[in-house]
Amino acid sequence: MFKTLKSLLFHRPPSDDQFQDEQARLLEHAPVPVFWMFGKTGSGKTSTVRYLTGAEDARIGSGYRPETKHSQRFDFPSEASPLLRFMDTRGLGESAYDPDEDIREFAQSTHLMIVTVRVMDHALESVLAPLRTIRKASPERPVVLALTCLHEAYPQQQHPEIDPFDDQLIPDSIPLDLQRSIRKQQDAFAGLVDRIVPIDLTKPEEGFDQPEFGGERLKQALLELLPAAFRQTLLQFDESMQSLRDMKERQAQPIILSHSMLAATAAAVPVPWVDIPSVMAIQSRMTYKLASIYGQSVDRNVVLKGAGLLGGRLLARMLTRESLKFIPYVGIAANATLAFAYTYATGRAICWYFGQVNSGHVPSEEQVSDIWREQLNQAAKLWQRTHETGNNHDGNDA
Amino acid sequence: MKTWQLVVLGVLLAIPLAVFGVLGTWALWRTGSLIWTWWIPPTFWGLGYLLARRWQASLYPASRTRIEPALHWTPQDEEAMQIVSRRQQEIEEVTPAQMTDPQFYLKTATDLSLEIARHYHPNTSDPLSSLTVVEILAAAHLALEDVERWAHRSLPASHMITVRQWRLLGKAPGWYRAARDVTWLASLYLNPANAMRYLVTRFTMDPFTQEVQTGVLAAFYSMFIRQVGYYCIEMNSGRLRAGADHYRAAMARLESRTSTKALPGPTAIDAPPPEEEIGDTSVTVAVIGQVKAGKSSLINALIGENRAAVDVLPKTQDVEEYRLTWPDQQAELRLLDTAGYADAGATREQLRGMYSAFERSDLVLLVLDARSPAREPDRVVLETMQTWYHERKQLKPPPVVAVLTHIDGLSPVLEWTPPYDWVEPTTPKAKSISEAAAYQIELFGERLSAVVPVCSDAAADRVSGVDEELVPVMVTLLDQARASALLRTLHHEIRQERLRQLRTQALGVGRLLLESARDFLERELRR
Repeated sequence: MFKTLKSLLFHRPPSDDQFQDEQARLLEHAPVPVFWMFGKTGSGKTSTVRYLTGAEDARIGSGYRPETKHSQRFDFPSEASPLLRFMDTRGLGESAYDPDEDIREFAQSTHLMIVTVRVMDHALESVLAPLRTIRKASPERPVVLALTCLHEAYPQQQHPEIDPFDDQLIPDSIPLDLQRSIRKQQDAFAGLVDRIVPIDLTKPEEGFDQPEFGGERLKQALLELLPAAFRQTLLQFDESMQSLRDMKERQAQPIILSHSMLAATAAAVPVPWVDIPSVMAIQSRMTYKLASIYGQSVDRNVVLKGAGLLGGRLLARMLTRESLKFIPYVGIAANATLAFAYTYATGRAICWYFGQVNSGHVPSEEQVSDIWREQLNQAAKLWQRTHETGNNHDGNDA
Repeated sequence: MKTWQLVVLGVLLAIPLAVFGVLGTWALWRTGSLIWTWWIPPTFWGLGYLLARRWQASLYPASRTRIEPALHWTPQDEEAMQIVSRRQQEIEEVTPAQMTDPQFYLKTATDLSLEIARHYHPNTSDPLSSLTVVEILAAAHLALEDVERWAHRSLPASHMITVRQWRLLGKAPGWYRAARDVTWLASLYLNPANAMRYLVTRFTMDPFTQEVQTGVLAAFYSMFIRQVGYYCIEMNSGRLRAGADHYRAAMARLESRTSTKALPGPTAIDAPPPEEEIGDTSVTVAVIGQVKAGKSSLINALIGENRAAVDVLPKTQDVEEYRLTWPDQQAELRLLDTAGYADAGATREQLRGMYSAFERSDLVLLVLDARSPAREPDRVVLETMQTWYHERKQLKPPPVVAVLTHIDGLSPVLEWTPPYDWVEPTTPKAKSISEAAAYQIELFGERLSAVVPVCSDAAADRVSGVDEELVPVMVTLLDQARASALLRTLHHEIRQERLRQLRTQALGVGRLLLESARDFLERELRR
């Protein structure tokens, strides 16, 4: 306790090792949804991940690292502070995929399985066989079947202007071949999946008017099927990204969110004072990352100036906030909300600040404070909304 | 052409040059320029001499006595060929005395045939034991007949060389080099321009007549080894079992089919096949590929009709056979539409169907869906096929052409304005096609004879690359395919022939028994 207090008073951020340990501990409790991507090569796993994360380029490819013998893990936006996590099973359709190891390793750690299948591909024994085993081993984990590459059923044509799949899985308006194909997939995967979603996510250069055909449908399915605790993360990400157009802001947003989430997790620890240095450390790490996105070089002084111009007030509020923890349960929730909101608002204010600097205008302290307050409101609303929706879905499921 | 004729030609060519040379020199001397120009001839001749020495190797044409792999040879046969080539190289170690001794040829032939037989039957102590008498006689007959023909045609004055003269030849060194030289003589008949070349290279090096002598001997030895080796290979591969005449007939059939090269015209498909063409060397093409890769569509595009059943769900269950005729090529093709294998590889039943297709096929079209990068099942099937052929050494593995279908679905998906130059791509679509083709080559490498990207969607009127690219590739492989077809029918005929002979022989024995029984009875009755 004394140590914590000391580090707090002297503004000494924890050393890298300390922070790593702390972060690893936090990550175990953080509500990071983990998706198990399952499908043959070329069935659209990568484009699905690209769509869900909004990570444009091949960074996904280079971000993968081997997890099990057959699987790779991709942490978005980064391994240190992930917001979403993807387990990609490779080698399906290759001679001997044995799902045992993955079943064992992913038993607790993955929350939802996304099976991708090209809608016209009916050579699926290599997907179906392991899926049966996996489903049997953990029937409670939701499985979404994404039927991809719809355009292969109507080559050289645009997707239907009004998406016919929103109301029913096999609408009458689509080509007969496609109807038969989907029906066949439905039969093949009967009992193995909880939801079937036809999608077609293509790169812009392919020339489709709707490059993210059915993407929204997939997101909805994921939100509905994800366990409640993990739903809000996806929801927060989805909602807050919608209003952003600026490339840099879109790049920064996942980082802000993941750090806010981490801060909220840290604050949920039911011991007063403990979380304050953690939250501060998380915020300063976030500042460094945001600075690098905006091409600003940051030394500690700038961080203290940037984040620190909010610092005095922040610290004061934090300190008063801590006392809430003495009232169990209610305190914890309010506390996590505040940590989330403070981190989120700080991140957004910093982004705004750097954005202004980049366009040749250095904002005054007051301006930054205004933005910060505004974002704090936004953050609180975002938290509230996503948690309410999350709870509503929870009610639906039950 | 005799030597004196060559000399006459040479003199006639040289006289005008000499006259002008003398006149020119005289003129130069008169004008006083000779002091400045005398160095030109020695400099350039000297340079020419040095270069001629240096380029000697490349000035010689390839040796005709070298053994070339025959079209119908299996990989095992080609390995055996190495043994024969090695023997030919050993010519340097042969003494002239040996070279003129008939016993030496007999011994060499025996050694060589033993060595080759051992290559085919590595695990037996007596590798010759499994051969039949007919085979050995046929091999000897064919080899000697060939050498005789060759000597008659290619050795100058061979019809007059007596054994005494033959022995006199055995004096000069440098056998192997001389063996190559003799081909010069042969080529003189074909192309008089070579005479000039020959004179240039010869006169700058060493006396010509001396080498002709040694050359004759060496070439004879080389040719002898080549023919003996060649027919030992044919014998050990079991292709001589039905006798020399049968073998010659089959080879003549192959030769007559592998000469035409023109591409089939667009009307080719509709013309009815001439009856006699549906003979033994019609080529069977197995079309294999994953489920829904587009095998049936490809067949429809090839035959220009909508006959193979095409559906969005997997359809082809058994092997279906379609016929396709290219009169320009005198080719009758049987296309075998096989059941597609699933991604877990082929099931046992599908494998059986595919094996039976392999058994009949002379060319394999491996159909690959360009839109799906999952290639593991194809790799497994290709490997299975390789093992299958490895276990049947008397058969020649057919060439495999990868046909990359559905290229219309490559990026950019919505663009389709064929033809695309995928060899030197400039547009994004052509680049996608090129990359897809390169990926297959990277994956399968040497196992493929060619990769051809096509679109065979006849229903949407999007057929591209079939007539323009796939058919020419298939035509160039027809000779190879025909060679494997011949091999297959030859083995089949040999089996039939043996059965027929057995039957005749059995009947003969039966008749003999009957007759002796009758005689016996008659004798007994008379008593």
